[in-house]
Amino acid sequence: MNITDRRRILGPANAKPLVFDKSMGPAQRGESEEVSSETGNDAMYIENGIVGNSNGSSYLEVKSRINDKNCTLLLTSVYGPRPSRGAFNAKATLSVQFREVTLEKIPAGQLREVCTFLTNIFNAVVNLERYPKSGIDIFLSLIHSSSGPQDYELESIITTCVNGITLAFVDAGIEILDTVSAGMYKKNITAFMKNGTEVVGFWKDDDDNSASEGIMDIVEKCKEHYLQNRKTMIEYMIRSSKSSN
Amino acid sequence: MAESVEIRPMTFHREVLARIAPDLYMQRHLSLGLRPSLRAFEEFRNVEISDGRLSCASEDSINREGNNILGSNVLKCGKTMVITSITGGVVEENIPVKSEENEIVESYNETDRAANFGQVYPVVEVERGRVGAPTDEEMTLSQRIYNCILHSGLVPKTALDVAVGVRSTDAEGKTTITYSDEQEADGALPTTFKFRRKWTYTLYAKIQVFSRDGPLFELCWNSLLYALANTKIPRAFVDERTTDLKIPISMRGRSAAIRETFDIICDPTSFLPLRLNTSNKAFASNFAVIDLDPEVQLPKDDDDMQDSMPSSVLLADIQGEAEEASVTSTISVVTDGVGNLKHFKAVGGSSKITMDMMRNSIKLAKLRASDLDRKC
Repeated sequence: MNITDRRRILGPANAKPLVFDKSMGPAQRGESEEVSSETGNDAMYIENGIVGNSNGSSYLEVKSRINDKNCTLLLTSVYGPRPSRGAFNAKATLSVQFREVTLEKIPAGQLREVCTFLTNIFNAVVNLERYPKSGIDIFLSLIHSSSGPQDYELESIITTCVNGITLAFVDAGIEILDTVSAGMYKKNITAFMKNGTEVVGFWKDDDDNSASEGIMDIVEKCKEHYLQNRKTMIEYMIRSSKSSN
Repeated sequence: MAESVEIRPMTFHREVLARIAPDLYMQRHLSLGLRPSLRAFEEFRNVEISDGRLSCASEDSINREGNNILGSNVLKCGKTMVITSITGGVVEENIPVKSEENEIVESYNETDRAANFGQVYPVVEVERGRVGAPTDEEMTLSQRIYNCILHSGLVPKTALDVAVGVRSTDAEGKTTITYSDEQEADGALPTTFKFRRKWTYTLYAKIQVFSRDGPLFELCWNSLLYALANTKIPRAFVDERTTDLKIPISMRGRSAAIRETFDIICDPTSFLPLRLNTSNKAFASNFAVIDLDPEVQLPKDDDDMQDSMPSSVLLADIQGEAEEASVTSTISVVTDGVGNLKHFKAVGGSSKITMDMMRNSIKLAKLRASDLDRKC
């Protein structure tokens, strides 16, 4: 069976992707990997309502506190609640789609995992009972992500996603139980709500650095980051509501 | 039985009216000498551009490692945002055995003009809150951009040739890369390796559109042009050990020689700007022709204006749902500042496009193009 994609212009079939020589990359020359103190804050830029035809959207630019080469640019748009066809549903159904807008580096399997993780978090957070027989679709467009020597760092992307979705929900005026935000510690992410008293999501990747640490300690460390993130988000929301009034 | 029916005028909020009766909404605006977007008839929107610092070749790139974007552009026009990123690939071209001995001569092919130009493979994606296969609009846009880039002759084929260098390692383990075109300047080392193969770059463009608000071809085209203008292609080399290997093999009694495929490695530190045919650089603008409906004109206060209203008007830069829905005759022009037309498309709908309007649209497109060219 011929399975070539005829809907997109793909170019010559025998083309090979460009391979850059790793041995002489800029990393080799600038030896000083800047792993600075972990006490600083992430630099975050927030802007809501960029996508005109969605119900709500948010744009986030996050520069990591730990590694200044780590930078994530994410655009989130929320469509809905819009009527869903088919059988009657007493609750709204939530879906999360993730796309890489410029470079495609993350394997599809991992993306699916991330989407499931995010769907689970926000199923618990959005007041779905308020929107019967409707669907809420979240579209995440990753414009850029970088993490020094690594191609991508899933943890900081997921953290940004959680924060971005919350902001987009606020922009869309969809009822959520609390401003959910996520905190990251090494390769662990915990999503909290209600001032850190309730955990709505926990993600842990293979990581030798934090393997010896107890799970409660990790959650505590994530909570610090969560509180910072939440503070930044709430400050932005208050400021933007003041300026619009 | 006859009940009196009272008819009351209804008023709608303007967003509602724009949705339920776009043509009425449009005509009412036009009769005031304005458009729904509150622009004048022949006024364009401002365009903001930036390279987004996404390219690994740019000076102040936010990321240089693990990044193979060669050129990028973020274009904002009104609410619409277009993000274009250009990536590349390498194709090894098959050269017939006979011509292998001779120099590969690049001759200008008169009969097939398009064969002299390089191609860019675009994929347009428009975010609209749905998932699934590409829509008609996305497919048409990609194809149209592909055709226009090829036939405009913007990218000469020679600009995509890979000038392959050789990386050699000397006895002390020090590696040097020599490029044939750089040696001439130095006057040093003669070219020791002559490649009997040819490589060319292929360029891919990924164009992502957010907040669609009107026709997109012009925005995508302009964004792609800006992206190509700042595209830099990396220098590439092969390792000394792999230059022109022939491996004799015998299979079922027959002997032959296969040649090893080369691994073209790109130099992450050295880039050359993509050479474009600047004389073929053109920008796109769109226009619409709409008939004025005398029935729905707003009443005039003074009657001396009555006869000066034309029957149809030319609108520049279509924007918004109301305009797009009520307009059927459109003109799209791709031109540069001095009037080298690269593409002209006129769709005749319900309104007649007159010769005058075409002339006027080309004139405006030229002005627009020279304005956009200055932003590069």
